[in-house]
Amino acid sequence: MTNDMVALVLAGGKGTRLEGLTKKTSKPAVYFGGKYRIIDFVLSNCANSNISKIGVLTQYESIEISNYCSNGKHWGFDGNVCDFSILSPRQKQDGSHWYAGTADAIYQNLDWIDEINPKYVLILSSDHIYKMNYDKMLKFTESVDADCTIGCLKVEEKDVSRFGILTLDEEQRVKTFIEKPKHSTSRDASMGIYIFKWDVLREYLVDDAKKETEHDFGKDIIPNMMNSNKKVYGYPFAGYWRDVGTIESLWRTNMDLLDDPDALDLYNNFSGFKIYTEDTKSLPQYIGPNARVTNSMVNQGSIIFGKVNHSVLFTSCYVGEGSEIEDAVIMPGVRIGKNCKVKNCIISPSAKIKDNSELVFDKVCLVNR
Amino acid sequence: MARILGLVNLHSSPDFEPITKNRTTGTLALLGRYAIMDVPLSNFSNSGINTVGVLVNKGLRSVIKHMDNAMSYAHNTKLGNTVICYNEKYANDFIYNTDINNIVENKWLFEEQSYKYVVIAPAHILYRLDFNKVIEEHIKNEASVTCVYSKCSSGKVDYIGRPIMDINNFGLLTGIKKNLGVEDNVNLSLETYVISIEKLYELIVLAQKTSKFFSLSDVINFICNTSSVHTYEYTGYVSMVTSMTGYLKTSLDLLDFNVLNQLFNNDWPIYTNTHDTPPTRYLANAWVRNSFVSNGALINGKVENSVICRDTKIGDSAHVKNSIILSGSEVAQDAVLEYVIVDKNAKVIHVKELKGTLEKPIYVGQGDII
Repeated sequence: MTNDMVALVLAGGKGTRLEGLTKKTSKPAVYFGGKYRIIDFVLSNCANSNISKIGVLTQYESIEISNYCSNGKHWGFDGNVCDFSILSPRQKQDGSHWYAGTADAIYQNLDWIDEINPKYVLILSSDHIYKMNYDKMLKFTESVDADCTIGCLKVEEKDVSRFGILTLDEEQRVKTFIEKPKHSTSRDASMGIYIFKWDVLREYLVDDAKKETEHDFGKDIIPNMMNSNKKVYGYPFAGYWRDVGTIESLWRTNMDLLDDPDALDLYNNFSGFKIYTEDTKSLPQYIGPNARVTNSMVNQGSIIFGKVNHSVLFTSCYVGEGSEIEDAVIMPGVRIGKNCKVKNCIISPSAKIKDNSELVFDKVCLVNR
Repeated sequence: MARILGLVNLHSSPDFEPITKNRTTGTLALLGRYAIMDVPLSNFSNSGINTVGVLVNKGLRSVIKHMDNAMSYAHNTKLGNTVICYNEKYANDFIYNTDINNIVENKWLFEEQSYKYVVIAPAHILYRLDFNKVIEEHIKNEASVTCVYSKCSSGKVDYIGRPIMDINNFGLLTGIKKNLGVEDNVNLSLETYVISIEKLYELIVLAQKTSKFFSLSDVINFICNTSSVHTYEYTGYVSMVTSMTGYLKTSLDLLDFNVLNQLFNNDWPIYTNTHDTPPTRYLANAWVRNSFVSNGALINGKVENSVICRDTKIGDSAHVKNSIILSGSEVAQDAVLEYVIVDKNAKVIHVKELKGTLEKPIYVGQGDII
């Protein structure tokens, strides 16, 4: 049974700290986990949370991500009750505007949401790796009759300055909300996931659009709601959640899949839901006569003749005879020649590594195409 | 180009128990990711033939499950169409359950569009052929039927019981008979035919009048001396899956890229449906050599010259050699398997050694726990 909630996925981010990986690709379209792209996680979460109406808001390098999302079929959103739209900035009668902030992006698509006229909207960023059932968060929102519910998780003291930090009362109502404080006694951080009553949010968006603000949910919309005493609640999430905004964190989170596969549970042993992605027309993987593959994840289409240890290999990679790969993330279509040494790095999609190359690093880095 | 209808003829694929007990031969897994019927379906697709009928002899469930929405094979999902043709009337009557009776039962498919030619191909014979070349020859020769064959020089030992063709000096078919292993040099029938739609109707009427048991190959044999039945020699790679040994041998042969690339490559892809399985995980004790491994597997043992399908588990210190492990199966810790075909969702847990031979592979049944 689908619920009365529209999901709006903010997928316009540039992801500057991902260096060359986002040169021609928006951050949500960056590859992760041997087979997936980052955006697969929120969209699969939506599919598994009984959501059937989805808008994906794109901006930076929108062609690739729009192509990839197409009609939502990878996640089953081509079903008969679904509405799946790519919402890129568009020319309108009053002019053309890029999305100026997270709230502005939604504001510019009021007409699309009004057409559906949902009771609730779910705002999602698409930069994170996690499995979450948003339907449970909606049930919570309904049970406390919240105007806004903020998904939050516990963070360590050193990280509070990177997040919006909430203080909650016993009923989980938000008492304070401060964006990126230098210090805080609270460890509850906003995940950038919000459920709003649509009629309430709509008012605030219209009001915010008239003002000179950053048009941001965390900085403008939610503080305004708090000031006017709207019912804002926190919804704690305790599962595995990672931000993959840097080369180091992207590499580390890929390695987590090898070291602690149950944490994200890609293999669906505990969580009861799958992460969906596009299919490729590739052969199964082939492991050659002198190859050795250990402690690794390898996707279809890859052909391995060398040694691979503790690495993640995406679709259709090739590792030549005599090469040794360790602690590496090899993106789709990479071809590594013979007798190469690769360690501690991410290799960009479709990179060609010549025979006898040595790409051994002390500190994790990105090898560009 | 004239409108062409492709037909995958599952009736011509022989059953070989035990593995085809619950499925038709065409849905047998190939290389861990495909079914053997994906090969003719992809040949059709790669030849630009967009409308395909699948003549199903039995195991309808396995065909529907494999083909899903059947759109993986169409260039354009509006122009293209893949239709499953099943003869419910004779489903349980193996003598009447022929390809011709199936076509008669599903005649609407042929009448729906103005097709000019029909290409008929089996599932159990794996080859790579651009059907446009055969159609071109067929038109040039003004043939009533064109039959595709391949020259074989080991007829005394290979393809026993399979149809072979007598061809005269003009390249005309003079007879189709069973290979009884008498001669080494034989023309192996690839059970692949090009025929105009009018001629197909004619043959069907003739077959129905002559013998209700006639198959398409029977009626072609019946008319070949009175009608111009041409032949087309295919010279590429051929492999036939007509026995447990043949199935295992074909699978193991394809581990060689030189062989594999003759069947398909980037220019001639093979299409199939997705199952949304995560990448395969290799654990600390994994030792995999010369094998195809599908997604979703979890490997912590030794795998050698084998085909490992989707969502399988190979336990610590297990050793799988020259074997096929079908999807969802498990080979538990310390089990040693050689020349074994483990069917879907089976578990080899308590038995620690299973050793067959290529000629007599051991079969572990679907869902069995041993």
